[in-house]
Amino acid sequence: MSAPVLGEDALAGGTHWSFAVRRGLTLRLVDIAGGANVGMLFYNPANPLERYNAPDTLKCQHTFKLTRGHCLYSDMGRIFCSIVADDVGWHDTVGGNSTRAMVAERWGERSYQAHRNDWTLNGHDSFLIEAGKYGLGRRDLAANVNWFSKLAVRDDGSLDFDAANSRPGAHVDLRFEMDTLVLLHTCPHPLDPSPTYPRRPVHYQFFAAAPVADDDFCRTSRPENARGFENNRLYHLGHEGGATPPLGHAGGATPPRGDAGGAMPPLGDAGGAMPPLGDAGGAMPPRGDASGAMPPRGDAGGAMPPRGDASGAMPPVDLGRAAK
Amino acid sequence: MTVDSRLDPASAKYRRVVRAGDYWVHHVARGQHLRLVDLEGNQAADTLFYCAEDPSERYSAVDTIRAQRNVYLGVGTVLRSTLDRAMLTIVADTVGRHDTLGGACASESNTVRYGLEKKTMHACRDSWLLAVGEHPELGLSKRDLTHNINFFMNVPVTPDGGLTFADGVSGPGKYVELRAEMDVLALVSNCPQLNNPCNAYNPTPIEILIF
Repeated sequence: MSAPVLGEDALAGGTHWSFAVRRGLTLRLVDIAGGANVGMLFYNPANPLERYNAPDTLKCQHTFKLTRGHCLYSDMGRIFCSIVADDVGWHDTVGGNSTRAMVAERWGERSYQAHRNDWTLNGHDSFLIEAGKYGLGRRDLAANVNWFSKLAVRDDGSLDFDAANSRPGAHVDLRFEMDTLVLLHTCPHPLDPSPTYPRRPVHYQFFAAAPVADDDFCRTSRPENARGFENNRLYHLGHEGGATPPLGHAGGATPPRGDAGGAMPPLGDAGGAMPPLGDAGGAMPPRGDASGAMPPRGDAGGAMPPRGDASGAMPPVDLGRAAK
Repeated sequence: MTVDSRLDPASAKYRRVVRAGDYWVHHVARGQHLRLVDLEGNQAADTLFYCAEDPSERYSAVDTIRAQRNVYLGVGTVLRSTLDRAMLTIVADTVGRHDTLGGACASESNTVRYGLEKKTMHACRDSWLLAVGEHPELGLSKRDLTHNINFFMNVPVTPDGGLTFADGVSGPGKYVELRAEMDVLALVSNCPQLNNPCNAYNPTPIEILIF
C-alpha cells in the first residue's frame, strides 16, 4: 500500500487495547515475530447492540476461515470491515479466548506483584476490561476473531492448532466499511501448544483506503457481499449528510463527516464525528423484584423464578455528545 | 455416533409440541433431562442456554468447541458457558451430529444470504426477540441473543476451510437429549427459514420433553 501512514502503534504480547476506526480507513496488523495472535471484537459505536457476529460472517460466505476477500459482518447484516490484503491465508474465528484458569494451568500463574507487566494476561479478561471502558460487559462479548491463528479441521471435526500459520512480518489489512469500535488483545490463542506463555508483539498502522470500486475484490468475492455492501450503503444514507438523524440515535443530527472540511481526521475519535458510547450502567436488572410477573405466553413454564424489572435489562445507550 | 436414550417418553414430566416459527422458553433444573425431537425430519432447533442463577452467564459456542477440540456437537459433548463451566451434557442422540457454527437466521442476515427483499420474512432472531419482549421477567434482551446451537442441522467444514450446508442427517422422530449440569433457562426458536434447501423449504414442528 502506497498511501501514507496516518497513525501507527504497537502492542506487546499479552496486552490489550481498544480504539474507534472511521469508515474509509484501513487498519494493517503486522505479526512482528511470527506466531502472533490478535483477539478482536467489533461494535457499532452508535448502537453497540450491533456487534460482530461470527456465525453470520461464516455462513454468509460459506467459509470457516477468514482471509482476503472476506467481509466481517455485524448481526445486523452490515459489514464492519473487509479483508483487502492478507499474506497469512487463514485466520480463526471459532477458537475463542484463553481464560485465567487456562493460562494458570498451562503456563503457570504469574502475579502482577512478582512480575509487573510481564504477568500472564488472558484474552477473556482483556476483553472484559476493554469492553468496560465503553459501558459494555460480559453480556456484550461474542465469538471473536483470532488474527494470525489457524485451527485446521479434520473430517471428524477435530481441531489442530497450526503453529506455523503466520511468519514474521506477515500482515493483514482490514478496510473499515462503517465506523467501528475495535477491542483487541494480544493474549495467546487458547489452543496454542507453546510450552511457555507465548508473548508475541503486533504492530498496527492506519491508512486512508481508496473508495470501494464496483469491481472491488471483497464486494465481488461472493454475491452475498454485494448485498452486504448495499446494506451498508443504505445504512449510511440515514447517517450521513447531517440532515437525517440516524436511526436509533437519541436525537440530534449526525455531525458531518470529517472529510467535509478537506483534511480527514485520521483516526476514530478525531473531530468528534463518532458519537461516544454511552453509559451502559446497570448491566443486570436487579433480581427478585417480581413486579407483577408476566403471565407466561409461549409457555414460559412458570418454572422460572421471576426476575426483576426488565426495564433494567437493556442498557440505556446514551448516545452522547451529539444529543447533549 | 448415535446413542439411544434409556428414558421412556411416557415417563416425561413435561411434553410440548412447538410449531415451526414459534419460540419455547423454559427452565430445566440441574439433573433433569431435556429432549428435543425432530418430529418430521430435517428441522433446525436454534437453541440458547442461560445460567438460571445469573443469565449473564450463557452458552458459549467457542468455549464448547475449544474444550472438546471439535466443531461438531454429539454424544459426550459438554456444553460450556461463557465462564467455561459445564452447563449441559449431550447424553443421547439418534442424529449423530449437530451444528454450532452457523448461528441463527435473522431478517438482516437473510438479506445478505438470500436477497434484500427477504428482510421481512420471519426469522429465528425475531422469535427470540419476541420471547424476551414477552417475558421481561427473564431479564434478557438483545444483548443476550447470541451464538447458538442448531440441533438437527448438519454444517460440515471442509479441509480447505469451507463451510457447507449439507442435507440434514436428521430424520422423522430423531432426537437429542441433554442432562442439565446446572439450573438453566432454555430458549428455542423452532426455525422458520423458508429460503434454505437444508429443510426442503418446509419448516416443521418439534417436540420437547423434560424428564
